[in-house]
Amino acid sequence: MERENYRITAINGSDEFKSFLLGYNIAVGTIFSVNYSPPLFKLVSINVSDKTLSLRKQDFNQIVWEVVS
Amino acid sequence: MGGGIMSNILLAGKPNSGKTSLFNLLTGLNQKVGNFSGVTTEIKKGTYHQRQIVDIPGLQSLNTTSPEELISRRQLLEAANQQRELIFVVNGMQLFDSLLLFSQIADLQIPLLVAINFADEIKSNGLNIDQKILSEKLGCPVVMLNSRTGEGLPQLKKFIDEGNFQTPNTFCRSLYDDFRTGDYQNHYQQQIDAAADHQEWEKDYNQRKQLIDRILKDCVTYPSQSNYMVQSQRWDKILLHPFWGLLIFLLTLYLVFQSVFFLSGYPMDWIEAGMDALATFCQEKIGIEWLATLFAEAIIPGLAGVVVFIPQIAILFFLIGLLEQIGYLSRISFISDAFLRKFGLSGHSVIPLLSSWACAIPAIMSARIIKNPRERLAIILASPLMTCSARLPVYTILITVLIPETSDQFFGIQGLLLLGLYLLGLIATLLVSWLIHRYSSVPANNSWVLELPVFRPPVWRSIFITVYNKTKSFVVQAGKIIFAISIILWLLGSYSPHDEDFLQQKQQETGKLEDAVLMEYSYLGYAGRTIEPVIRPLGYDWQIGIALLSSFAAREVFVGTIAIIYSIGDENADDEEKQNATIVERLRQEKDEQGNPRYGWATSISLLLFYVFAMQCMSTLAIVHKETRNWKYVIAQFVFMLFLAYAAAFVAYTLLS
Repeated sequence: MERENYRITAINGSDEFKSFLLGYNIAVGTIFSVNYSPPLFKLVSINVSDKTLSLRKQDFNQIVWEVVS
Repeated sequence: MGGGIMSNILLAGKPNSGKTSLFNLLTGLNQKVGNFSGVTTEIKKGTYHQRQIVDIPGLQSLNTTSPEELISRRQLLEAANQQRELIFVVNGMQLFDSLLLFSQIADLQIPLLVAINFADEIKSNGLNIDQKILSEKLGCPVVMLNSRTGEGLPQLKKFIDEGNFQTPNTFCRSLYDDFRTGDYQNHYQQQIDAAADHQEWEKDYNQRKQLIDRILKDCVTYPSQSNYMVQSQRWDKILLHPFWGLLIFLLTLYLVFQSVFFLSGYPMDWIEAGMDALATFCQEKIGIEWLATLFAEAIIPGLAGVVVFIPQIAILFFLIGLLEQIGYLSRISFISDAFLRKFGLSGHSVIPLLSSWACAIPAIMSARIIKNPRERLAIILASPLMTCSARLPVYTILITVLIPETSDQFFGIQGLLLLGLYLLGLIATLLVSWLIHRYSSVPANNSWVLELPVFRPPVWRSIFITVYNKTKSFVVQAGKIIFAISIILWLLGSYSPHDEDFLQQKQQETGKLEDAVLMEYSYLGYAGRTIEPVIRPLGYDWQIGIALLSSFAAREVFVGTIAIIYSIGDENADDEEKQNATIVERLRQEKDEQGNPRYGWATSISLLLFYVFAMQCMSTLAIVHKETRNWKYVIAQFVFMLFLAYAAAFVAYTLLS
């Protein structure tokens, strides 16, 4: 099943937080897809440039994105 | 033989790119490798053809604040200043990601070559990398490699031997000043040192991103449909499932602990029988009486108390190593993050916490992967409460004394009790972490990102190397101490400040055996009785007190010390069965003043709890100081854990006796 891809259009939060995400190549313009988001674990697992990264839901909610495919 | 070391070569790359595997291949050393980020938290050095190879912790970016990444960044800046050579290890399945970091390091203008790792995965996933074009674009030599099997290693070695390193001067010149005039100056190093602000980093990132996108378009062909990660993500649907994932996790833990008991039974019996035979052999064959007694009653029983646990330690580390290698540890991080968050920790803390099952020292050092300063402090101070391998012998001996083996069935109550003790250590760790999270003034940063590596088959050689190293370290560390302690205890227990007449008189008065009287009135007996008033409320006599005191150097010497103390005291024991008894049987036969078992439930549980909570490891205290650079934390940790141990043991003994 083809997953939907998203492009990051903005990241809210402090510069420190944005720099932290940048270390993992998560920045404005990054394309990602969502793997799963089990509610119990309060994490969102995403695919970014051939890597599976998991972010805390509160952090993921700071990311503004648009659908690209 | 040649002269000294010529120069050194740095191994750098992203976390989990296979640097340490390559380091082991090049140097022939046996450093630990795993399938998760942050296995290397300190600099490791080895030699290859008179060149020093330096393995530095993996880093995500030069724009970093985490302690272990700052170590690497400092090394890279030094390498740039001294024009040292560098091998940049790339995870071939994550080229974009790795090359972003490469571009930053290339801008430091270090002579380097690129080793693209996981050649097997590249091939099986249909990725086609044009090595020649990539080498031209990057401006340095490129080698394909599989650090798990050694494929591509001869070519890499040839490059190293020929000094085939190049400074990629054609890389990100747009970041340099006065580029157009050709009179450029590399301000990139200053930019890193000055901790540039986010806007500058983002601009820098975007420039690099565009450049790498272009490079990859020119030299990499991707398959129409990539299956990379698909298989792992299928497994993750089960392993990270809120119900099945948790169930599998708990079941895995239980199976690990039960295996420690079940699989180690026979080899432990063989070792015990072998050591007994050795003691008898020494007693019979060594002509000098005092020397024969020293070996048969002190050194061999003491060492037996250490080596008998080799099977359990080896099995535990084999199973943990297997879980590490296949990539399951990161899944445990994922599953546990939400739970650990309640205590101010994160899923990253799982690695140090699980490492604590081996030893608190590497665990405390691996806390460097934690980017949140407050969480890092919590792990440093609380992880010694987790059950380290040194506690395992104490636990298993007391559990076996309390709960005799009733059948050969795999599932049993012994494993459950052991699991319970491990859980108690974990609960204490979490509560202390929560206290630190709640009341510490150290700054906190709650953002967290976890990388889930793809599942990979284990590298058996690496697991066996880890098992060998851990077991050797346990035996050598405990063996050295127990060897010294066994001689001291034997001397103190065999000689008395009183003369023969006094001892004979006491023997007549009490009706006890000669050796029992000698032990009681020996230097050791007096030392034990001096501390007896303090430990009596916990249910311990002076003999346990001696074992307790000796284990403040290292807790694993408890069993060996107990074995020596009872061995000396039983030299002329009336019944032969007692003389030939194993440590467990001997402890079961010990009686208190009322004739009740000395190691009954009250005393044994009290002892177990004391060992769960007490800080009995000088090396751990030293490493806590090294990591925090603050004696205040060291003293607070020691006093707090001792108080906790005493209180828990007192309550348990009072309730159960």
